[in-house]
Amino acid sequence: MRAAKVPILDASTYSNHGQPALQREPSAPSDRGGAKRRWFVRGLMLPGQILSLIVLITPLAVAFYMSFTDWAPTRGSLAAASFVGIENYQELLIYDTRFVEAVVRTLLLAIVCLSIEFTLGLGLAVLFLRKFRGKSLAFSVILTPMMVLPVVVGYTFWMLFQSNGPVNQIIELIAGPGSAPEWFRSTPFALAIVVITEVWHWTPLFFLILLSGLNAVPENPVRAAVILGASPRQVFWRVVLPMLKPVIVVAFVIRSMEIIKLFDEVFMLTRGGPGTSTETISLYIYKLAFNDFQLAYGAAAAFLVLLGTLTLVHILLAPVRDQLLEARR
Amino acid sequence: MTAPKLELVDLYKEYGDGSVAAVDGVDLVVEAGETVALLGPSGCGKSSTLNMIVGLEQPTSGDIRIDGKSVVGVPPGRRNVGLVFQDYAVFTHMSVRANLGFGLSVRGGDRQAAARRVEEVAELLGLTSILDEKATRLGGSQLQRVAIGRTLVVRPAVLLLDEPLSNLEAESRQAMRRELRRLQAEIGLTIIYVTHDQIEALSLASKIAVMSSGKIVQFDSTERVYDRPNHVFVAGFMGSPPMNLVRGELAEARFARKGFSLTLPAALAASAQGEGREVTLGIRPEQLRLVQDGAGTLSGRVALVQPRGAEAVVSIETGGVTLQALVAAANRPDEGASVGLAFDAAALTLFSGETGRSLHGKNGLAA
Amino acid sequence: MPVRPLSWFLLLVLLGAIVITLFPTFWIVMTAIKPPTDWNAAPAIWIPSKPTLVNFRTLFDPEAIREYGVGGVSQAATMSVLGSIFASTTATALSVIIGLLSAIGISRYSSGGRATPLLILSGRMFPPAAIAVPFVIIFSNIALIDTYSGLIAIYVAATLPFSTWMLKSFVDEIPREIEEAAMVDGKSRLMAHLTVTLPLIRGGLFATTLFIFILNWSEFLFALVLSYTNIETIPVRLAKYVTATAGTLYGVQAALAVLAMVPLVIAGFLIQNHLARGMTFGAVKR
Repeated sequence: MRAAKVPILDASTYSNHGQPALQREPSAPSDRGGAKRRWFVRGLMLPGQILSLIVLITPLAVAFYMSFTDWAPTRGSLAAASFVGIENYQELLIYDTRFVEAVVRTLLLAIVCLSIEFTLGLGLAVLFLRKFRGKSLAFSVILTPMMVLPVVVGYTFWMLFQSNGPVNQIIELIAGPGSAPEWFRSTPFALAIVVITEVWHWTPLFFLILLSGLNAVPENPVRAAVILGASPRQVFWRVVLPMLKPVIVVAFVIRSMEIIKLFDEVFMLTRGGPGTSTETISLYIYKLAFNDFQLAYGAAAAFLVLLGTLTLVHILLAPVRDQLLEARR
Repeated sequence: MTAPKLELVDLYKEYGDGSVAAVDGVDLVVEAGETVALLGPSGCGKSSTLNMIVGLEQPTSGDIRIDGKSVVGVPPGRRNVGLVFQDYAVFTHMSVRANLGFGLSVRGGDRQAAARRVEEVAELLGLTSILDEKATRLGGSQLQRVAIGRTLVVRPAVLLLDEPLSNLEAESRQAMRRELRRLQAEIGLTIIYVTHDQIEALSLASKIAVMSSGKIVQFDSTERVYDRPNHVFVAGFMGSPPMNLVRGELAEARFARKGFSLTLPAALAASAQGEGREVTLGIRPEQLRLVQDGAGTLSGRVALVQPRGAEAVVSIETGGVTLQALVAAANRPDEGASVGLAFDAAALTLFSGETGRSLHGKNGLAA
Repeated sequence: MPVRPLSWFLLLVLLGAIVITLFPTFWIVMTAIKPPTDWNAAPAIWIPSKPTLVNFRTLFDPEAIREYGVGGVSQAATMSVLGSIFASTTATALSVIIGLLSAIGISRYSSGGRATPLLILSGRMFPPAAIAVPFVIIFSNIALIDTYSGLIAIYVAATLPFSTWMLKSFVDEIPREIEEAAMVDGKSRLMAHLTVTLPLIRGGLFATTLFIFILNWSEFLFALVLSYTNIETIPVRLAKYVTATAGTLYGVQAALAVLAMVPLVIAGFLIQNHLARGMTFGAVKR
């Protein structure tokens, strides 16, 4: 419900003399009022800015510097570390096959997971355009996975896919004894678990965003298409889906940003194993920094990832950037 | 004789529990090449009627015929009707060309022929130069042309326009009005305008169907709907300001109410024979002439003068009744002045106080 | 277009989706109430014949599990539960308060330019594993490592983009004329915002608070690398159970997972209409 509109000041209000409150009115700033207003706005923004400066910008700057040194905690203070230029970056991109593999693996995981999540999410969202009993309950149920902690999701799926767990039990029931795989011992199966876990966890997000978008699609273009003779299928593919594009892009951008940082679930599920076959970028960087203490090298890897993600988001957002920014205003 | 383009036969539409009919027995016949306005205030059922004609809603009962064939149950895309939405509903993610071609493209068929038809319609509507623009870049009247063109491409038997001028600026309205007239003349289109704006209806249509509470009150040529309203509702709805309406009682030829009385012409009074004594007397503001106090049939005091450019609306109190007169701005009196009111007896209209129906023509007294 | 009902086929699809959605949660809850003999039985036991709360008791009293003949858990989870509650609520409150100030600044005074959303987004793109590295170094130097203050500072900074943009989208929906009228009545700027706008966005504030709480409560990586012995959160304890005693403490771990999940599922239900707004920084309203 909207609050009642209060009339805006008109010119006659200003002609009242001796009303100091009026001089503070924002649309008629005197010089002093203007300065005061500026300080007020600065005051509003300051806590957030200080916090970001201390907790985000400074560490980032330190990390950025560090990425050009050979520093490790075992070698004394950061100031004493020697500057090695872009050596870390060169090493990562040219010689570190484990890093390159982690990048490619993460990207492939992202593509596979996002395609499946989008398809399932869209299917479910379209289903929720129909009417049926218990719809709001079904809606709540479908959303639950995204409310579960990633660590818990990881642990749960780890249990589900144990060799004597319920998933294998069901597989053996259907395909006969001995048919169930040792999920965590083979590369393709371990990757499959990661995909299944991610899809289970985040399809609801696509569902939620796409359903919001579908409900906001204006009715008249759809009716116009129907009157012009389009079949329901044509209406969906040629009118509804294109109008949904900005929302679809938002969903993809948000999810790509998150899946590129994928860590918690994989940490709980496989720790990157078997070997390094399910190691994501985040997991690799974590291991570099906190298992092998190669902090400088890890920082360099992180900046490469940031650069890659920025580029990716930039490309994804390009077709709808204007629309999105206007919608925010 | 060929069948009429569009026929509505005893059309009913009920929503919910059926206690209220949104459309309550509408009959309408539109011949080929006619331009008809479906006019009424919001909630009168015109939108439901429109939706039933194009097939977005199903009638509760009654029939809809296009070119003589019933289309009830036929899906919207096969009815051969075009609809231009009030907000145009242009596909913003497509180019103008793709918008125009949409109807042919979803039907399949010869692509080259379709492309030629798009060019043809673009030519007709002056859209040729912007065919490859994205629809998001267009202005209001361009969008409306695209919306019209999109329906014309598939050669509809009937074109319906929902509030066609309401979203346009005053300047574009004039242009669009001319454009619609020209289209109608050039390709002999049958057009139905659905609108709540009587000025829009008067300026665009050759016939007007006035709707109220789910019924068509009057369906007649534009001039007759204006000059000879057949119902108090139509009289009060048309015109700006609308017709002056005074309720009173009729005894012989004498029309009277508290503090106000008038002797009617014998012929007019005779038309009310056999009716109850309760009647409503009507006269158009532009039929009232201001004269010297004492020189007219009535005399009164000027309560309010509202200038409207070349004209002025003058409210005159006479015998407890306020009448509005439309006079040339140069002749407007001062507020508070005493004036006389003169009019031709033929300009008076009498409505039944009971049914609201006009009493004209009832006893063979059509104007 | 008329709204059509579900066909039988689609109803089956929907039921399938609901079963798949619920099954993992069903399994973890069942495991949490299994006695130790059922934890890792082969074939797996779906519904325990003798459900027990011993796993939950063990979380707070490591000796409780001994009645089943299983060796005691070395450490109780009490500290991690309290730690999670303390860190999440404090960080959430701070994030929402600071976010609200920024939201008013951005919405009412157009502070920050067109690029602000993209800048904030890039903050979210940086892998936390990498931000954690300099944190560890800096925090070690200023004695903030292994303290709740340090963890809370990071949580506030990490959730600030969400709270700011979500609240901004709510503030945007309130016409500013209302505040201006209050200012004319002699209220100071700050009071006008706080006494007029704040009550009007109550619902939005509530939704934002719960959403930020969900984010903080779920956080794992920072807590993992910034805690040694003094502090702990539930996700870290959950991971440590795996590390220390993999394969032996399924039930206790599941009990902790259930405990961790409950507040979030409740919070999630309460704000399900605002989840899309939160996840998309206010770009998708409903």
